[in-house]
Amino acid sequence: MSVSTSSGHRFDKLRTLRFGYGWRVARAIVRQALGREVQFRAQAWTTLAVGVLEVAVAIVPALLIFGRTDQVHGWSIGEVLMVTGAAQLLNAFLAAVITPNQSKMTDYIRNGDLDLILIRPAPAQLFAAFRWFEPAALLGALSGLAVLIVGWLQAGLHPSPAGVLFALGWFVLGCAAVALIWVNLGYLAFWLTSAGQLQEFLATLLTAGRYPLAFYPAAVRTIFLSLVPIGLATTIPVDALRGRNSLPELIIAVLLLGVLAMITRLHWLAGLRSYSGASS
Amino acid sequence: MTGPARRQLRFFSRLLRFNVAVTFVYRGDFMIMQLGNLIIPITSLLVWQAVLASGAPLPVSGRYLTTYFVLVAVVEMLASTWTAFFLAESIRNGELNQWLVRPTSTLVNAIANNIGEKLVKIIFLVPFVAAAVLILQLTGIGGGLGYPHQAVRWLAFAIAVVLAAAIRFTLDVLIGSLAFWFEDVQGFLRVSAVIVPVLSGAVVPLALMPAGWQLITQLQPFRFMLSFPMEVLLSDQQWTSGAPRTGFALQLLWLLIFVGGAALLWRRGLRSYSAVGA
Repeated sequence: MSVSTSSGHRFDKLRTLRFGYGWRVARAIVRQALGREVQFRAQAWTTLAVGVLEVAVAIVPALLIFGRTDQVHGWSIGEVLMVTGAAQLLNAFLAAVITPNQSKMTDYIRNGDLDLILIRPAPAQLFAAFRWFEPAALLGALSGLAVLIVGWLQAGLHPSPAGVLFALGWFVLGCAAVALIWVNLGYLAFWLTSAGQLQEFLATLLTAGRYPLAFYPAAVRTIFLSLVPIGLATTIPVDALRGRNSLPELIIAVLLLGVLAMITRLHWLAGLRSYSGASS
Repeated sequence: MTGPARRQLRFFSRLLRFNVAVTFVYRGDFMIMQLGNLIIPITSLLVWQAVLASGAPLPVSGRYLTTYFVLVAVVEMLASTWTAFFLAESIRNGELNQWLVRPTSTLVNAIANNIGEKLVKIIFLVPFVAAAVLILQLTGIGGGLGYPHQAVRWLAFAIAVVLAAAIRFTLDVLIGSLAFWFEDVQGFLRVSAVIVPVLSGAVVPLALMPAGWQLITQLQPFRFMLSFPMEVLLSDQQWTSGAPRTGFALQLLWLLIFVGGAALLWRRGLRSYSAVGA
């Protein structure tokens, strides 16, 4: 039995490493996602409409606040709108790539559907993380981008090219960090009966990222930079555009992201060891 | 009481006991859900306190804001429902059939589920509220809490909360009933999840809405799902001007409109319903 498993593993690895194989799997996933979207056109339109509505509602508090004052703790309305726009971009990314997969994690584990992922000739962890992709949710990024640009024009910022690069770097890093936290919450289903409510909780918590971290007390700020690192994708990139750049900080953040990725890998492996599906 | 009514009441009390027991089974999820309900009010509280701290002139005090948002969390927990989702689901997958052959309605069960869920919530709620009040009093965030001491105001608050919960429930039946005609009501649910918090005063106290919009803000139905109970309790201005009377009249009017709409949709939907075996 052990012989066949190890040879199976080797075979698995060969196929995964074969040039272009991963690319073909990714292409198939995207093609199928687009096909699904075309099939359920009404749903795609609703997703777009809700995305626009979400952004419209998200900027209401900012508009009300700045109807009464010019700045809050050093932030102008344009800069706050940029943060709101960045939060919406993060949201769109999560809704398109991360949540469709992680919301299925509980069912995979509880119903034993994970078996069907484990026996496939593709890297199981990546496959479970990216199998379902929802292109329509990416449309929400358009409204986020619009708010970001309007905010930018309003704020009248003139960042250096380095500042723009820093902002992009922080944003990508922040998205990755939040995504990894979300994935780890999904893996909690290995140990708990359901991770669904915890993920809902995180989703609601992320709405706090619409405002600059400066609006919150120090303790809350620390949480949004470490445990639920939403600030890395919203406030810090806008800060970079305002001219606050520091290379050492970015490098430390990259290293921490590496550690988080490693924890995610170990969490998955530990989860698989405790998993007992129909065939394992 | 007539025979059929007494019979329905007996069904109701059975269903209530059953639903309380079921809610207890999911107590872990339930706790997390309650904590999740606290996030929006806490965020709003912190943001508006920051606005106040940075020197913005607001028509309400820090103390009013703090008390308002603590109460928002409480009322939101007591008034919110999840009926729409389950109702739509049972219509879509034909589970409604089971209820059509029973001597009572799925709506009676939905009401029992709502009340049962709220009984369990109150048990969980007491420690949360006690902790929140204690933390706010000790830290003095936003000047601590301020609340009236007249019993009549608390009574009016309690009645307003019950009516708010009833409006929320009928709105849920209304949205859930749309599943008779639409494959997927998820879109409607998401739209209401985006709109209701803003228009009901969960994100921003309606007193902070622009003055030019006050008439619309005051008359629209969502105010009576959340904001109105708090106004009745906290606003001295309301009591001196005799506004609660108008407010309660409007709240009842909206409840009647929603009940009428929900009943109409439900009846029509049942007539057009065609699941396997129905």
